[in-house]
Amino acid sequence: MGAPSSSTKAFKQGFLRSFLLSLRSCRNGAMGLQERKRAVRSSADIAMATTRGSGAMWPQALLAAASSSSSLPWPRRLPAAATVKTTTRRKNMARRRCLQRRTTTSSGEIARRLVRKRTKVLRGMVPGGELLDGASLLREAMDYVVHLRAQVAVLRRVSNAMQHRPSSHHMTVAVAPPVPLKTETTGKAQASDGNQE
Amino acid sequence: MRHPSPPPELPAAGGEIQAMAPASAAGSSSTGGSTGGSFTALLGLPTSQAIELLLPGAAPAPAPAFPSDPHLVDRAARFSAFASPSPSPTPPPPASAGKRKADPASKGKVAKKGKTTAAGGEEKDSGEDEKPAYVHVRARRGQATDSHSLAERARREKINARMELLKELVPGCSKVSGTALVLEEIINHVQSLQRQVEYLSMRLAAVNPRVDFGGLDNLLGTECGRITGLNCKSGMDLEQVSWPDMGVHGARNLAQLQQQFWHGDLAHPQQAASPWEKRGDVQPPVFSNTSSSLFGYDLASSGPQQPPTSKLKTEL
Repeated sequence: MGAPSSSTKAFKQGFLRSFLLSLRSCRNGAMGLQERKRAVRSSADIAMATTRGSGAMWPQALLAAASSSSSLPWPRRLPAAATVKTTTRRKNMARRRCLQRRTTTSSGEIARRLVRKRTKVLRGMVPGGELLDGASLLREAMDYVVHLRAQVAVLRRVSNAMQHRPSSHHMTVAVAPPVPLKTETTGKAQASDGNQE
Repeated sequence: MRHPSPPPELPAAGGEIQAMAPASAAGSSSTGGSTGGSFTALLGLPTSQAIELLLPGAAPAPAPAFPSDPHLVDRAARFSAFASPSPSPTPPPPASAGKRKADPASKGKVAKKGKTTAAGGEEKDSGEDEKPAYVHVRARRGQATDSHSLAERARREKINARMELLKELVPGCSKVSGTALVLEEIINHVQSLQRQVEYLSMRLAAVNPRVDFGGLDNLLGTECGRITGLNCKSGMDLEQVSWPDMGVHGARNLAQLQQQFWHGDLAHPQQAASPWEKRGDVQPPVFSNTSSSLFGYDLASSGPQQPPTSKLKTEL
């Protein structure tokens, strides 16, 4: 992957800051592992969404989902309606198959069906995708992928740093953090190496 | 979605277009949402409305003085099959070459369809005008000149352009051809990224006995220093502030401190830190307009012509 732009670095900075901030402000009760993981995950998502700003749709959806996870989910299709729809479609297709034995499914139809199915899957994965139409869904997915990558990179570095550090608190600054040993060429490694000279 | 105001040359038609635009936008978005996965949502209701509205409105419209008129007449005369060329060059008033982003797309398509129907089979809409509001698609020779197919082609081309960008983004997609397979790769990629986030957060939770990361004072300084290439020492100065028992207000103060420290280059509001402190009432944070987006270019204009290197430049 090419050299990162400054906006990537800016996003990672902002994300890291928000992430650590939100982690600190978590209620530090006695949590089990799963709860802690959920807290970490949700704070990472929220940090990513707030750092992203208002350039896309998915941050709002992500925040809405994260904030109201216990209450009624954000405007999405009711699961009942979705189930009914697929049954009807399958019934129709079965009916058609019974009536017309010689329907030859052209490759175009197959492709279209596949595309439609996969678009539906993509809609489920991208937050806020259910309200978007085809073209903007692709754009949102693109944006989401890029920022998701940045999130993964930051999380990985934080986790590496946490692991390679002994669990005592006040360490000196002189402890050189290990060179990121990830094979994934994150922009951070290149950028920091280039900047630190 | 907002739409730019049409020029004063055709106030009547422009008013109708504008009146219809919110309806078309709402209609397209609602139909897009309701039809699960249908790509033809844009060509729903607004089409008939547009034609009905624009047909009587466009007919009496005088031929405004467009700079590209002779050019247009030229191509129109070559391709279309109408009788009198003089009323024909009534391209949509705020014409502009090239595609625009999705926002004015529905409005543009609608207006264009109406105008073409009114002009009676004219299909060339490639005017160069001041107001960049409409999507213009060039009809190639030998292709259908129906207004519907024009709009469909525009939409398809827009989707194809985005698919190209996505193909460059997702690793391993450049050799795959076909929308379905590319979509599958994208889905796999997103799934793997989300799973990685889960895994990493599990690791972080396992490493720390407490979530609030008591040992992160140095971590914050060094990590931030490493990431941004700034001086580590200056990063540490902040952390001398007492961290451990920081409540809501403490977090906000720290946020302001940090904002000053980073010279406010990241324009996102840090007051948003408070809403996600696990309170019941979470108001949506104020999003700044200057987002730290990783796309520094206009998606539509760049298109597939851009060399891959410059596109990948915006990657990580």
